Amino acid sequence: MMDKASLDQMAEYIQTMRNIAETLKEAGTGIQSIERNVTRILASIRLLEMNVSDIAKIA
Amino acid sequence: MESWSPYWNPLVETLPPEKLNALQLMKFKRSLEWAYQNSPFYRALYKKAGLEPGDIQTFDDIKRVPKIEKSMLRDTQEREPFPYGDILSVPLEEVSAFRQTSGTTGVPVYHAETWADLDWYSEGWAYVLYAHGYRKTDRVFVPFGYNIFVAFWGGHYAAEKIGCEVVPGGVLDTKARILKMKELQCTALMATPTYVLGMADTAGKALNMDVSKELNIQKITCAGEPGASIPTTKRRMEEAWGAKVYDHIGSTESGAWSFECMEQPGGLHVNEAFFLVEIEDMVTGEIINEAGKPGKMIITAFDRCAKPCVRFDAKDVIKWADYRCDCGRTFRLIDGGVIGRADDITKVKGVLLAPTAIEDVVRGFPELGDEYEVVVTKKGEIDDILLKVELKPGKDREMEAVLSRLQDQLRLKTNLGYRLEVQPFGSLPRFELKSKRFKDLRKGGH
Repeated sequence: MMDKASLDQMAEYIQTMRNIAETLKEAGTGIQSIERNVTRILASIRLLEMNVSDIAKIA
Repeated sequence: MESWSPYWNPLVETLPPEKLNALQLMKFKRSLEWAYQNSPFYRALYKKAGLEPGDIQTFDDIKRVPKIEKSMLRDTQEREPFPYGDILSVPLEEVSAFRQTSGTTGVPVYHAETWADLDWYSEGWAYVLYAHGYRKTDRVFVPFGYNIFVAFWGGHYAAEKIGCEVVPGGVLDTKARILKMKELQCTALMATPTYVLGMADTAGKALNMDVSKELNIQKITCAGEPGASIPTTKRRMEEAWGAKVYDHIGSTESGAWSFECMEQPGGLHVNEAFFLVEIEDMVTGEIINEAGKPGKMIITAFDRCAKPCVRFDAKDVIKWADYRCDCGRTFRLIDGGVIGRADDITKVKGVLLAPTAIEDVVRGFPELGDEYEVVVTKKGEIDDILLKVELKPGKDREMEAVLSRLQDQLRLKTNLGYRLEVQPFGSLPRFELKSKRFKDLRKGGH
């Protein structure tokens, strides 16, 4: 089992990725190739949250 | 040679049980809140029961949450928005794929998938395939057109995610599929147990080929039927292909919730990071936590977006295992996979009969073919069970002795007597997807 600090660090990276993706989506509002591709990126980030960030919350 | 972790995600697969429980409770609350806030169907159900999401604070509270079942899902389809009904929990324009159930138990249920759902579904499958030993060096053959059924889409994308090379063999016929697997030296295969046996049979008959010697398949992932958890059926498949055969269980409503690992302990791990599986006593309705006692599975799939699955009464009968697995996963085991369907396990002559028990006996006889059919009828007031089997070619002289031993074994394993009928080899129906070998005609069924 990974230590709590390392888990928290990974969860922070994932949060940063989410923030960047959402910021990009907003910046690209109206441009479908940005909006739709970021939607797919966010779906993958959500899985990282389930696989890592959720574990950090209960560790 | 690159070395790989035995786990897709060791962070959750080796989580201590108390942490796993905490994770499940957190995710259950989140899924309940999502369903309540976004699905008119769920909100109405919970309001009628006087339940607010905030009422659920402990594991014990979960049993207060009303269950749903397939008939309710069908009913929602009668309402807007078309075609999913008011269970839909995202705007219709966010739905990216249509799926439906196979309709084995009645009118098919429609399912909406967003991008997030499809990723989630594939992730669940990635846990399954990684536990079956799929790695990025594998070339995986999928001998089905995936069509409107979600299962093999999930398997396909999960294999891709793991890094495998996937060969979708849907448009080919059985012979062409076998030849393509041979040509490409495929190392893994996903199929229903019925079709795994059927392909080996076709290879022998039509191509004079022994798939265990001429193909390079090393592992087979089974889906759709319980065969890979029935010891004699698993043995037949493993012998026919010279490969390891692994089971997994999933459904359109829930996702891929359970899988066998490479230790093959006799049971399947429940993916407790993605699902909450409860086993309910079929008489008292109490939740069963002790090992060995069968009951109905109630399943919650955490974090599904478009069509939440909260406390779904799947009608699958399962039991917790009383043994642990050496693989190191802390996910609990169910013993022997799905024992049967609550609506299939039926009383015949006053005795509870699970069709899987008959299959286990029939396939334990090397003189008999893979196919069989059970027909239950009523003659006057008495139930009658007709079991049709096929003798393998060249075994005619042993027929009497085989049938006598078969009758003995059936009585021993199921406590019932059968009328036995031998059909010409190759004459019973063959199936590619889900088979229908048990027919209860007592109430006008078919």
